[in-house]
Amino acid sequence: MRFNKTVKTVLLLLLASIFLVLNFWFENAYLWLSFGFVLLSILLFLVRFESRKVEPRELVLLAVLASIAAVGRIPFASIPSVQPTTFVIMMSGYVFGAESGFVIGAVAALASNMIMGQGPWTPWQMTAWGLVGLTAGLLRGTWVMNKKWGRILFGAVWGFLFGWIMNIWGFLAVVQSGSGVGFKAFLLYFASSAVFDTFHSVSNVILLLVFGDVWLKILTRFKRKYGLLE
Amino acid sequence: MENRFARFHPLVSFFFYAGSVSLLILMLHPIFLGLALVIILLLNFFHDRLSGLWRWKFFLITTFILMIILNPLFNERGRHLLFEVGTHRVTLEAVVFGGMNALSIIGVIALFVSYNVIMTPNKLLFLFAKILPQFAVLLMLTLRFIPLMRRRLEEISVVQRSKGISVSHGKWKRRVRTGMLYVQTLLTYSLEEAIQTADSMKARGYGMSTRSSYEYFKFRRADVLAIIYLVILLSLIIYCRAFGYGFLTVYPVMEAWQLTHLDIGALTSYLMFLSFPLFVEAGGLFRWRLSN
Repeated sequence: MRFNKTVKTVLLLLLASIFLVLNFWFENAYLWLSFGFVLLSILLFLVRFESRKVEPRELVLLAVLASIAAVGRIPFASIPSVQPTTFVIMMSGYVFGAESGFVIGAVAALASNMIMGQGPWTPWQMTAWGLVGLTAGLLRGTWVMNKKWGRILFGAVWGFLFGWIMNIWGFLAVVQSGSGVGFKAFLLYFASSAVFDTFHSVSNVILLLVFGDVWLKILTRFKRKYGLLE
Repeated sequence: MENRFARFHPLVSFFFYAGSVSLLILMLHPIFLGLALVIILLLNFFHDRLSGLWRWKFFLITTFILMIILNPLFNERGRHLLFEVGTHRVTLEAVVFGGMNALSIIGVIALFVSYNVIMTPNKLLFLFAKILPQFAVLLMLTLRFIPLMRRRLEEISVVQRSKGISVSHGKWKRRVRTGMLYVQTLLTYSLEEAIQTADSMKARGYGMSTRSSYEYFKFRRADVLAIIYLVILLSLIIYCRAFGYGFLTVYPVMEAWQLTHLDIGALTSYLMFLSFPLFVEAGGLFRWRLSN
């Protein structure tokens, strides 16, 4: 069952306006508001993904990359804070474009949580990993990303950004509405996660440094060979 | 054990969980939250005798304690002074506020434990397939590939181990490198296989007509009634909440905890909404007794 385009647009606009009205009503419910924002933006992306008929080959390719991103954590289980998920999503986004990057990141997060157990963090993880793929795809033409050090910088920055996005929901959950918890607590909360973020960032850098070029080559070769997602 | 609540149409269960999470976030009042937590615990007890919740005990308890401590630590606002540590004021307001947020978050997490029992992946996929068919296929493929990739990784590591290469010992630099080489082997291996899967899908006629599904959920009369019940209660509560009932104002001046008439109305609807699965289970048990 495929909805036609106008129905979809109207529905999305309706959702967005309901969301705005609710915001106006409950002006202090930040956690609630951010949940709405995140869910709505994921939905927008998915609807966009639906609007184009994706070939089976492309669909399976996206699924393979998403599942590798999710499964890639297993061999590293014995090494704390090192996981190639971000790296895989970044490489896929870089080679196959922004939209595919977002979809791969979001699906990898959703699918791995379906196995490990869903929680309120699922939409945030989907967005964070989705954005990794999206930005990698968007920046792929720029001269910064064409250089190796540019990609490494990108990975280092995302190591922290990913942690911060996940922190935001945690912080909003702690604070919720109207309390006077201020900037000091905010900084402390973010500082407490800095160790993990640094690990994440460093592991991204190492993976990009050692494996970045090989992976780009493999994925690009595959893309050219079968003419996928050009 | 099969739950009666799990037999409802996925839309009913999904609506129940989405509504309950919203209520837990919106209705910040100690009495509301306390009772909600009791109901959610009962819910989890009916689902799996609390075994799911037990796995989360550490996370739940630390979150709870952390949140209760954190708020008074950073927040000195409020008129009712409990005690002072040095120059730091610990106020009743800060403790109550932190406590309410802690209860709300714990409630949401406990609710998700129950969600994971009831909303199995196939139900979520069924819902997705209606509005986002392409995304649903992608998600289903990914879910199917995850165990496959795991097996392939296992295969790769067995082959490598026969060559004396392993991720489980040695210097960590070496281990990261081999671990990533496994994943890289997995990538090239799976990409080629993927093309075959895709061609098989195409040969079987993927995308030619509407998809059939393995499990079909019918929307029965009980589902319609359940949806009506839940929607009415939820809109009643949201209506009350919009006028400030069912909510404890803490700042600038803390209200009394006492409930007004409308508060009690909101509380009743709130409890009736949350305990819907309990009613379902209880009704089923009752019928079972009668028929015997």
